[in-house]
Amino acid sequence: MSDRGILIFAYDGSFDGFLSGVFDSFAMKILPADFVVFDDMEPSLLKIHYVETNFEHAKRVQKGIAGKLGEGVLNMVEKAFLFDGEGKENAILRFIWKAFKEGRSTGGKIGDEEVNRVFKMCTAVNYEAERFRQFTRFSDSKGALVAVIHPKHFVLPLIRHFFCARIKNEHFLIFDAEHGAALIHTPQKTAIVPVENLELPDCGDDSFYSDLWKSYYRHIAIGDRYNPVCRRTHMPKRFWQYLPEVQEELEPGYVPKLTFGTSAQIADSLRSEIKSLLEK
Amino acid sequence: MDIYEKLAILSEAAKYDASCSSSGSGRSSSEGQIGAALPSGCCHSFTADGRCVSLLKVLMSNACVYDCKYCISRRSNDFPRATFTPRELAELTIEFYRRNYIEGLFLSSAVVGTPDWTMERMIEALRILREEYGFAGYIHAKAIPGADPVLTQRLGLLADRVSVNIELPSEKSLLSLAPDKTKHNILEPMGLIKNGILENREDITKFRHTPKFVPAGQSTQMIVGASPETDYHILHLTESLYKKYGLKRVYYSAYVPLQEDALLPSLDTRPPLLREHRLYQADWLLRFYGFEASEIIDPKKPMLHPEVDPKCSWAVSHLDDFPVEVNTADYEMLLRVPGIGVTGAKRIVRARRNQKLDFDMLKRLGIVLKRAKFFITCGGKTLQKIPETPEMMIYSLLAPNRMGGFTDYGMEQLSLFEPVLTGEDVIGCLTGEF
Ligand code: SF4
Repeated sequence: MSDRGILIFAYDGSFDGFLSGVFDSFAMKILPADFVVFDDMEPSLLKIHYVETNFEHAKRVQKGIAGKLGEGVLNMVEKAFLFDGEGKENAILRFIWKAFKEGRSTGGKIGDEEVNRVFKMCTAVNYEAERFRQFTRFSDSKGALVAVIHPKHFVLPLIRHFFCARIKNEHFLIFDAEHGAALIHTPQKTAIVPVENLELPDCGDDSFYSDLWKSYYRHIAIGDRYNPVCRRTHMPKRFWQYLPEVQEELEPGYVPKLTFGTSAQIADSLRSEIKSLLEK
Repeated sequence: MDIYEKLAILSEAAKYDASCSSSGSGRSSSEGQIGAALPSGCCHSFTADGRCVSLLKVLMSNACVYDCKYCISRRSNDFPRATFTPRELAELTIEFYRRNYIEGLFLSSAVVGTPDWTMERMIEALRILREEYGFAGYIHAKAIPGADPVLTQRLGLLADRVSVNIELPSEKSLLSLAPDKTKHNILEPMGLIKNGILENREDITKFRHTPKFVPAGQSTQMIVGASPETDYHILHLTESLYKKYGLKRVYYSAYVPLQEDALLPSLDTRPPLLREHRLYQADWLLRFYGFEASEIIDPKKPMLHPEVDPKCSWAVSHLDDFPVEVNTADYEMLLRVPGIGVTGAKRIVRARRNQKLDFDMLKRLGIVLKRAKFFITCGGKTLQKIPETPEMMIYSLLAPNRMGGFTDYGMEQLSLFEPVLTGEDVIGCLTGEF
C-alpha cells in the first residue's frame, strides 16, 4: 500500500458503483485518500481514479463479503451506504479492508474507532428509518395515497417493507424529495424509482379525516400533564411538517405544502403518473 | 350527532387510560386485506403531554350506568354523552390506519345498559374490522367486568391484547370508590383470559388452523394516588399479577382529580407524577432486569425514594457487590449497574467478545458514565475514586445538581427543590411508554 493517500476514487453514486470501487481498491491494493461521487467533486491536485461501474465486480465483492465475512458484515455495509454524509464511502471501504484483514469478528468490534464509525452510520440510518415509519403521513386523493418526505438518509429501502405490508392493496407513493426518489406501490408491483421533479397536482385536500385526526389529537392530551420538552424529545420539530396534528403549532395558519385534490380527474392523473413511473 | 362530535367526546373520555402500546403481536399482512402488526409496536405521534399515540384510543360509549367516584364518565357526572355505532368506529379506524396515523384500535367502553350489551357492541365493531375489512392491524380491547364469559372468549379471538383494569390497588378502596365493581368481577375475566391463552398455546401446537386467542397477552391498569395504598403494596400486587396471571404489562396512572368528593384527594392536588415515574422504573426492574419486588422495596420504608431511582437505591444498599468489572461481569450483573440499560449491557457483551474494553471504548458504545463510573472497573481501573459509604455514594450521585449543575441525571432532581416545569418535563418523558 505504498501509494496510500495520493489518490481519489470517484464513482457514480450507486451502490454497484461503490462496490466496483471496492473491487478496484483491492485489485490495486490501494486505500484512496478520498472516495467521492463525480458530481460532488471539488477540483483537486490529487490524482483521480474514475471507477467504472461494473456489475460483475460488484457481485463478486458482495459475494466475497457475504461468504468470507458473513451476512452481518454485508448488512452493515449495505445499511451504512444509505447514510447520507461526507466520507461515508471511505469509512465503509476502510471497514471492509479491516474486516478482510481481521476476519468475521470485525463487525462486533464496535468499540474500535474504524468499526464504530460504520456502526454509528448504521445507527443513524436506522433511527431515521424508524422516524419515517412513525411520521410519514398519507393524503388520500380519490383512493390513491401520497406522501412527501425529506429524510436525512436514504431510507426508502428500509421503510418499503413496513408500508407494503400494511397497505398492500392500495396504490401509494412516497416521494423522497431530498434524494429524488419515490417508493411506488400498486397491488401488483412495488418499486423504488429515481424521480427528479415530481409534479403532483397541487389542489384540493383530504381534510375530512385529517380534521378528525387533529380533533382526536387535541382531545387526548391531558392538560395537567402538559410537557412540551418531552413531546419534542420523542417527536423532534423537524418532523412536524408532515403531521397534520401539529402543523398549526409550527406556524399558525399553516397550510401543508402538498395537498391533493379529491376530484376524479386529479386522482386519474396521479394514477397514470404512478403507472408511468412504474413502467419506466 | 355527527362523527366529529362523537370522536371528540369519546376520545376525551378515554384519555386517562395510560396504555397505548401496540407491541407484542406479530400479524402478517397475509392474514388480511389491510394491516400488519409489528412485535415491537410503533408510536405515530406524541400528545402535548408527551405520551405515545399508537392506537386510536376511544370508548365505544361513555353513557355509563355505574358510578365510580374517580371517573368522568360516571352516571352522576354532568358530561355530554355519545355512542359510536360499530360500523362508524370500524370505518374511522381503517381511514386513520391507511393514512399512517395509527397502528390500530384501543377500544374500551363505559357500561351501557348491561355489561353484556356493551360487550356485544364492542365485539360487533371488532368483527366488522377483522371480517369485513380484513384488518390485520393491532387491536387492544377492554373486557367489561361482569360480562358473560362467552363474550370475553369471543372478544379474545378478535383482539391482539385484552385488558381488565384493576382500577384500585385494594379491595377496600374498590369498595369505597367503585361501589359497582368487585374484586371478583375483575379477577374472574383475568383468570379466564389467562387460561384461554394457555389452552390456545397448546391447541396451536396441536392443530394448525387454531385461531389465535389474545396473542399479545393481557395487561391492566391501576390508579395511583386516589387511594391510600403504599408503593410496597402496589409493587407486590404488580409482581403477583405478573406471576399469577401472566400479565404482559401493568400500567400506573397518576390520579388527576376531576371531582370533589370527601373520599378523594382534593381538587387542587397535583397528579403524583414523580411517584408514577418511580413505579414505572421499579416495574421496569421487575420485567427486564431480573429484580424481585422484595429487593426493590422494604416494608419498613414502604414508599420508593423520591430522590434516587430504584435501581440506584438498590445499588447503594449493596455496595459490597460493586464495583463490577465490565470485561467479565455477566449480563445480569451489568444490568444492575446504575446507568447501564438493556441496550448498553447488550452492546458491552457484543463488543467485549472480540476485544478488551477500556473507558474510551465504553464511551464510543454510547454508555453514559455519569452514574456508572461509581460502580464499574474497566480492565481493573476505575475512572474515579469510588465513594465508600452509602451516604457518600448518594451524595456523589446527586452532587452535580446540588451545586446547581444540569446533568442528565440532575435535571430530574431539580423539581424536588423548586416546583418548576422542567423537572416534570423530564419525568413525564419517561412515564408514558418506555
Ligand atoms: S364503569 Fe366506572 S370507571 Fe368505567 S366508565 Fe363507568 S363509571 Fe367510569
